[in-house]
Amino acid sequence: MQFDKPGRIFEADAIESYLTSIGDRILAEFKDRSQELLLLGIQRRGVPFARRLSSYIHRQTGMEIPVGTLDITMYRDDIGMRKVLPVIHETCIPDINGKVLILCDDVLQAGRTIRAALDAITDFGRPAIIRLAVLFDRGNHEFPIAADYVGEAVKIPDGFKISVHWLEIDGADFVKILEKKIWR
Amino acid sequence: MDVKWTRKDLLSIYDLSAEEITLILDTAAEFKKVSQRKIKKVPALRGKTVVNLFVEPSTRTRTSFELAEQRLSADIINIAADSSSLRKGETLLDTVKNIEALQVDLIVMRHSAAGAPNFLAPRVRPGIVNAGDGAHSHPTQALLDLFTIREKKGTLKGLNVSIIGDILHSRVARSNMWGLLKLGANVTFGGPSTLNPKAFEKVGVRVCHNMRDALEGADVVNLLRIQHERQRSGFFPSVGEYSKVFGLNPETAKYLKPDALIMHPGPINRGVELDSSLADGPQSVILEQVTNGLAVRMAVLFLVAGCLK
Repeated sequence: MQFDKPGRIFEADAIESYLTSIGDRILAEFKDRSQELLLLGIQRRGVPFARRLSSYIHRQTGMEIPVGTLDITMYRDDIGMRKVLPVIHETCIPDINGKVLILCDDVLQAGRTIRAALDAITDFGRPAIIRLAVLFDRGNHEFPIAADYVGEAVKIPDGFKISVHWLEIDGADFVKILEKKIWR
Repeated sequence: MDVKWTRKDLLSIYDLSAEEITLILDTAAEFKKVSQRKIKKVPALRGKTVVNLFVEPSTRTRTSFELAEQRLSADIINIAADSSSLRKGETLLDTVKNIEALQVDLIVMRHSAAGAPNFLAPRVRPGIVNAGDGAHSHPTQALLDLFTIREKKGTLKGLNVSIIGDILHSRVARSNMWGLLKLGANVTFGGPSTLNPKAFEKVGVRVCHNMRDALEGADVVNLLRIQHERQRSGFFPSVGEYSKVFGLNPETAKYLKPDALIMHPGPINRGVELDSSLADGPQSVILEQVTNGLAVRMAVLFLVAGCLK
């Protein structure tokens, strides 16, 4: 899908349908290894995504897929280059050794967050498999990183970003396109 | 999300808002977990150089800072007073200008002169972290004490915290006082009148000259180390008498609330300001203070490093 200007692009029902489609694909790929599945949400807006995927899988199958949270601030490559230092949120990771780890984030933008997340995960252990699930993929990545599960590929012009709002954090579920703030 | 850290230096607790202090404590809680992992290191300060400039000797604070820097992946150099050119008559500013010329990012400094870090901070590019200056300030000690109390009690608001000992010469007492007052705790200073001036009442501290008044109803007691040379200077008649009148022992500890925390910045003079049975007892959080000191220093270094130009 392509959007040319800022504004709201998706509402709660669309988010829900992208999410369930990703959940179905994860279940289909790992139906024989569901005991080893672990969802890891990247702080902050990957966390509600991971939690909702887990509860969707629970509704579908009765399985309890554990959810962890990961803050990648300590692993960023732009400390000292940003105007505002990010606030560190909770990292809470269960044992990941030998697990099928589904890394969850709301949007795949540059790929730098995922690069940092992979570094962080290596410090916590050695999962058997790591897959990347994102609700939206905006393309034009800066790193050679691609997602395994994508809710929707969204094309937007340079200088814009996709912003996912969650009930749990922002009070409502919707997605909008914003003009990127220029930090440097 | 609302609080922004904008300081390249940490000079004293007095400079910080309650929100900034809380941001440091929240950040430290996440850094504490790093030390509990198998791989106790994160790349947050990779490529940054930190100089530990200890013009006044210190082992525990320097070790804690050094480990904090290593766990953040910084490159580090230690300079101690007795091995530096300060002994040859170089001024402090010249020493630090030389360090700056080596493209260093942060300087962690301990100095016997109050205000030394405040003097340097506006004159040099690297960030300055105060690791103790004279009787003025020891911000990371206060932060680790606040962190420990908050972790154990949930909050600092409304808690009664008593600090006992040589208040007059103590940067720990002063830094704790500002931090505790900013976060809404009630502060009491206890100790002999020669070492515990009434002047602190002006900023809202309760000043007591006997242990019963100082300890009654306290949620936390923080004992300061009594230095033997203070006796020689006539501040109290003898160490034995000090211990009898102002030491915390099972008798005087009865004045505290039953679940009160017992704290000490170390090193302890066992049997002088603190009885051994209490130092090693269930209320003591003295070794947890050491653990938390590492986390707090990681948080501080991380925050100031993020604001370097």
